[in-house]
Amino acid sequence: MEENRPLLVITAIANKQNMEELQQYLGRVMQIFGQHGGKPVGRYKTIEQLTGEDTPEMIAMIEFTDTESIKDMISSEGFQGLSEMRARVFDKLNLMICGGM
Amino acid sequence: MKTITKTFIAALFIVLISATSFAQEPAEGNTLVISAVINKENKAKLPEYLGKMKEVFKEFEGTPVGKYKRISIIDGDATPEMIAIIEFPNQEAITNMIESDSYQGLSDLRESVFSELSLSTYAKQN
Repeated sequence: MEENRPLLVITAIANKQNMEELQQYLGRVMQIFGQHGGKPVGRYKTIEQLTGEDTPEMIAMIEFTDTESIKDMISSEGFQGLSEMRARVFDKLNLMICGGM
Repeated sequence: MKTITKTFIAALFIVLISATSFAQEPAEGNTLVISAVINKENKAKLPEYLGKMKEVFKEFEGTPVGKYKRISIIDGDATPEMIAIIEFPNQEAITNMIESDSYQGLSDLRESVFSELSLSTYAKQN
């Protein structure tokens, strides 16, 4: 992971009724990230919430060259074309751009 | 006799490999993810808190993976301002850290610097 490169951080709670479709979605969206220069940095699934509320079940971090690439990816036909699938496979979804501290 | 010995050794090898596979431990939550919203009134105390927590993590063999601040929200309504990821040798180390005097001793400072704070253990996926 290179310093100063922005990360797309995704936190989510899966829709348990569509777990099979979730795997399809993850495969497709990873390809779209790659098409825009996104490089997976880490993917985590919750084991236990220690304190706080509304812990996501999964966290993914994808490094991009710059914030413009992230925004281009989000507005791309590829990513937008998955919106219905995305709505089916996640109960909650948050996407944000983060930088290193 | 030689054939029986070879067959026996091969069978023993297969049993040992199978036993090893079954003995593999399931994925453990040895990654601590901290997500937080900062209390803007006490922002000046945050570096002090983060510096002290770095020592606490070290005491329990936690290795910082990364510390991130939110630049912008693309979608969703539950986005933290800050995320920190620390890897520990195992989940027990995380539990011990949370229960320690060192960590508990920072609770007043922690409450003053964060409006919201969430700690969870995660398993890293390949």
